[in-house]
Amino acid sequence: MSNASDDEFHNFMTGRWPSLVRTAYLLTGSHHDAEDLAQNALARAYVKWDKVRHSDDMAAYVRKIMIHVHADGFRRRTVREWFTSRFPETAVADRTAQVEHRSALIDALARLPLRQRSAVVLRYFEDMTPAQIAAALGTRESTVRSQITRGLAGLRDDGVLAALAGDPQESRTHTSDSVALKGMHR
Amino acid sequence: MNQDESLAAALHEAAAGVPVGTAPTAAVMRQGKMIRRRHKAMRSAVVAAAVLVPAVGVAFSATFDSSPTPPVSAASAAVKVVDPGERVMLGRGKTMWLSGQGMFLVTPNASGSTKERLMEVAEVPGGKISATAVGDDAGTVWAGIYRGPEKPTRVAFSIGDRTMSARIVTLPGRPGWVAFHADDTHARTNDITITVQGADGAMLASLAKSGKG
Repeated sequence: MSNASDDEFHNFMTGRWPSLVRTAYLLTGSHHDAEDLAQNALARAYVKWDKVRHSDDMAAYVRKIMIHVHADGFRRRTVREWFTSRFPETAVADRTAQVEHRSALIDALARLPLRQRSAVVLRYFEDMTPAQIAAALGTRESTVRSQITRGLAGLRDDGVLAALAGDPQESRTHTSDSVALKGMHR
Repeated sequence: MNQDESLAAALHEAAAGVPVGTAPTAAVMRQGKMIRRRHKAMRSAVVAAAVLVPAVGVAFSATFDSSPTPPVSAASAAVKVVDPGERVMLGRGKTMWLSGQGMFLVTPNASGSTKERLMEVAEVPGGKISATAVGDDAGTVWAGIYRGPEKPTRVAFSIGDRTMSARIVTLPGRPGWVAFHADDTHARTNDITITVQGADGAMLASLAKSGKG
């Protein structure tokens, strides 16, 4: 790769890094995994940089790579750890409701099957249409709509949506013992 | 705010709470280059496997004193930094990997299994070369270790009237030694001299071996 291409990649990565890490965080539920995922996706983008730079939407292209890298990594993992910010004990008193809701949302997302989680994140965080998500995930639009519906149902079952809407009923309390392993289908 | 808007806002809020450091561009570009090299090596291995005749390995290993510098004409070889355990394709189905112990040379057997041999860096005296060759009538794969305080930038093989450059492979940091390898398309029948050179072109070590011994 020429120096000019390297410079171009450097500038692209510097600009897109925060956004990719944030999307990766919602996909993985872990800050550490998010940086790994974004880094792996960008390394693959670097390998095929000529294709990326000539695409209509470079950011979308790399995001698509990241989704595929995430799915590949998920498939390769047979045993996954469960990382949770919650402990079996009752939450401590000085936690703000905001932090609890955020934590509950991330935990609930992590409990969704991979495809549902990806569809929900891309729809509501990246503001992508079901057609765009279908193209990114390599599936049909109707499948994406179904995954979004089921993903929302999962979040609703977890009580997260009600909590976000200000419903006094708190989201259900899960402990590390009672929930499914992260990424495992329920 | 409806449910969709609340969810979108909550996702943005959660994502915004993630601390984002400086983009590790250098590490990513290094990783990308490594993937690219691996892809290239795999493509080469596929081509090599398609034409490879099962080889009977003939190997030797020796350590010798320095000898006069041979004439070299090929371009300088790049030094490749590999992680411990990372496979390096040598050609003709052979691979190597490095660890703190030294160089592991992996050769396929006729049965389909592989044989792994260790060339221990501790057994190579400082400022000296140890090398081994595996091959048959179709060609020879050379691999070896140079141990010394300076990082060499070129390892040259002088075989009869031919000269070829070896590829240099090293572990990250300053391990105090490098491995090198070369794929010769000729059977090993002639005298050979291996020369290791530093960045300023000075000879750091040389190994000479005559005949097929």
